[in-house]
Amino acid sequence: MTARLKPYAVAHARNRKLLCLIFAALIVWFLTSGSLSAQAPMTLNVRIGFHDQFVPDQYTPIRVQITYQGPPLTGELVLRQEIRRPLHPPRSLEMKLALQLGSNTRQLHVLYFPLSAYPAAEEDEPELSVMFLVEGQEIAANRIRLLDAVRSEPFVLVVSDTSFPRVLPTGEQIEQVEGSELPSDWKGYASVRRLYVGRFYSRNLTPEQQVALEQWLSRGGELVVLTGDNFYVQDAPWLRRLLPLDIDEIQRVETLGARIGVGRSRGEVIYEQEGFPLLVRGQQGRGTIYVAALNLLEPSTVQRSIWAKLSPSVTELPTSSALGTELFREMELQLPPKAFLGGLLALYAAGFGLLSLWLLRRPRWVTGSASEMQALVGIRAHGWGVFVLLVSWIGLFAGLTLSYLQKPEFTRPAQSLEVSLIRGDTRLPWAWMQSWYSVFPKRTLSLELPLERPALVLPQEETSLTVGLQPERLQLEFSPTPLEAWKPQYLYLEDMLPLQIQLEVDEKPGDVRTPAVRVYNASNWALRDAVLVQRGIFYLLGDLPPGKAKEVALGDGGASSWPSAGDRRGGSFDFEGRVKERLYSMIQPEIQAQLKRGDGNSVLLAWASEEGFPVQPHENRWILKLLLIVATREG
Amino acid sequence: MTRQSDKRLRVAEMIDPDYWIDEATWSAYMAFLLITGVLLLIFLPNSQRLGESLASPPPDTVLFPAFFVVLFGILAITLGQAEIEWQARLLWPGSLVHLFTRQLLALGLTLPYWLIFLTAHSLNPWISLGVLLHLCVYGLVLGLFGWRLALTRRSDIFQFNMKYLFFTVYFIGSFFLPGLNYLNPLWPLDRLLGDNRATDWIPLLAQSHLLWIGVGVLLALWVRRCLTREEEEGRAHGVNVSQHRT
Repeated sequence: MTARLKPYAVAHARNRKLLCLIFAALIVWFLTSGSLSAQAPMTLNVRIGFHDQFVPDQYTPIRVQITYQGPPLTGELVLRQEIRRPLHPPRSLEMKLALQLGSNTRQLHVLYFPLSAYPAAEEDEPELSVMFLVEGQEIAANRIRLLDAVRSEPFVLVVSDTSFPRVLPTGEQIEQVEGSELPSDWKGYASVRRLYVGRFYSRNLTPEQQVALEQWLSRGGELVVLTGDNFYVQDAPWLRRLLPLDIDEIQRVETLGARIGVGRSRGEVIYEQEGFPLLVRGQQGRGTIYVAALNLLEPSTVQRSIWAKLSPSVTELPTSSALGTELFREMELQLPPKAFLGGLLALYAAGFGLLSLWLLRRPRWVTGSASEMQALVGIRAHGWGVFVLLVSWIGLFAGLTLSYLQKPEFTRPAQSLEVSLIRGDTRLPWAWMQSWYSVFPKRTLSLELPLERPALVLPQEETSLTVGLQPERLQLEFSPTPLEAWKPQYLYLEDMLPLQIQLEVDEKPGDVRTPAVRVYNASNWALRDAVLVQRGIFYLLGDLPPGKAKEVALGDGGASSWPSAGDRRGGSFDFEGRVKERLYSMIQPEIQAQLKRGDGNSVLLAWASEEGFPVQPHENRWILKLLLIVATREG
Repeated sequence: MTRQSDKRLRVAEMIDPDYWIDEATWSAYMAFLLITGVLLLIFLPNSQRLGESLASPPPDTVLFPAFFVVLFGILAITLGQAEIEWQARLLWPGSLVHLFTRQLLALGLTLPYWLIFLTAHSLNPWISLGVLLHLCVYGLVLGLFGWRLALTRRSDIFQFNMKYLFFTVYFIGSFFLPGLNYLNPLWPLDRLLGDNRATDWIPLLAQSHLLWIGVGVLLALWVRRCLTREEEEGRAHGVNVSQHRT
């Protein structure tokens, strides 16, 4: 009996071991998989904009503090907003940042996201979803209601250790922020119109914050620095470089009843008294920097007069959101022309008809015995010649048709347009590029656009987008992926490029020689139809390939307009002509304004054709960029 | 004359291009080529501004293939009917190969058309392979039907009436009767090219084509049986069918 039971006992023991092993493996799997992580304690503390307010459709800083207590984790921080506009299909914008979290960690991440004030698809009010995902599984989430955070006017920020009144004498309602709250990326200033600097240790700003501030200024921001006694703490090399007033000392002027910063003005003196420049304005690209030589919050005899001179003005980059859409609708969707194809097919059918008639004339079959037929195999062998002829005829026309249809406008399933305006200033190391990108998929296809620089990207119209944030790189994916056929997508992009085109105005006061301007193109752009404008006269430079320089003498006549911007062919504008005219008309007032600012100011205009977004293989893209570089005459 | 050389001769004959085009079929080919060419040109979308394109629905990708399928179906039945002229000469399965090569010639002749159609509609070339496969199976099945029809009765009027009656009933019936949808040639085309483009079209097409191949095998067996019976009847009446010439 025992002998019979023994094998059972052994088998039972084996089974138990096996079960234990499976159980242990399950525990290990459970511990290592997302099951535990999913319950790991993580909190997402989110703060939006400045003082929890935001301006709709402008890039807004979103500060997300992740507090995590658990094993190391790799995942994605995702910001997502679903938008439902009246009479429009819902759209969404998603931003993803890949993150690695250590165990028991606390991290602060600032993302710049264009929040919308439209309600979410399933909700009655706007909402922002902030999530942390691990392999697509939600670990933690925070839904931020945005209705009370919407602000209609751009921000006027104040950074100061002393408190400012809520409303300034200029009528501006301010938000006072800490220095650490100032964005470290120019995109974070997109909803800020003006920044006041009071008593503040500007050395405390990080290099990233300093660069961001400078870049925002060159984009069109306004900086107002209230000096006087404040300057003792404000003083920093980076700020001195920006200020249009070289302050040498702070002294009390009894007649003004205030202590003022005394120094040499490098800009336009807006207000002065007793020989002291009290309000000086300087330009930084499109931006403006005001320096008040005294602290305007302290009482003085000129306080009110200077505040009156600081009334707000609009200097931001004009963003014509409809430009891309309008030009794209003008573009022609090229398909194979019927007349040409009709002719080709008629020729093909006629050829086949003639071939058939010729075939019918030949002895095709014979009657007789198999041996007679065998004798005729040699004759019938000619049939293979017919075969070759027939296949050649089909092949010839198929080849001809195929080679004709190989044009990119026929074969590539996505038709797209990229138009840009590039604005540069010879006094700045970078230029601003505004691009409007539109794509029309003729059939369902996937399209991803990697961007080398972290640019500002705003989806337009009904476009839904997922933006993957990587260090120094953006990965743009239209959603849904793949793109639906016959449904266009529109993007607006703002980017900052290093300015690699030099413009040297060789004009000295009292020099009897004809002044000349030398243009050196160190960029990758091939410049076409370049022209230099000075005192309303257009001096033609022509084409300027990369790495080449050209010089134009400003006294040798010139034209009254830029022929390339209104090039009529056959009496009417073709598409290129229309785009050029439209872009040029957009910037014409700016050119006039720049020329009016100084008699010796010059403006370089040229067409450049290098792409901003990398062109994808199945995309037939038409690209045009208008380059505008301002050279300001010193002194 | 050995049996092997006789077989080789028949194989040479049934694929000999001289046998593809005769008085009965060249006009059918020409008519097919011209009508499909005109239809292609009619249904091709025109170049237009994107603003106008966005205001209108996408160009229809099914209309041309639908007309093509109807015309090709009629041509396939006609070629099947004409096979009766060749069956005695080429015997079985020579006639079957002959029928198939004629269908392929008709499809091959329209190769430039399909290139234009695919490019104009920016369609995936793999889809065109699916369409070609679909048309091959479809043409062969209808060709076999035409052949069987010609074997039923030699009367031209009977054949003409039956051909169009069957074709209309088949088309409409398979379109509206849910059970027969898989047999409708427009259904796979809609799956391949139309708005209802399915992502899982491979199994659906496999179902459809398997059903068609089944029908084709049945028709082939039926034709084979008729031919055998005719041969036996001929022998009974003292006629050597294999040497009969029309």
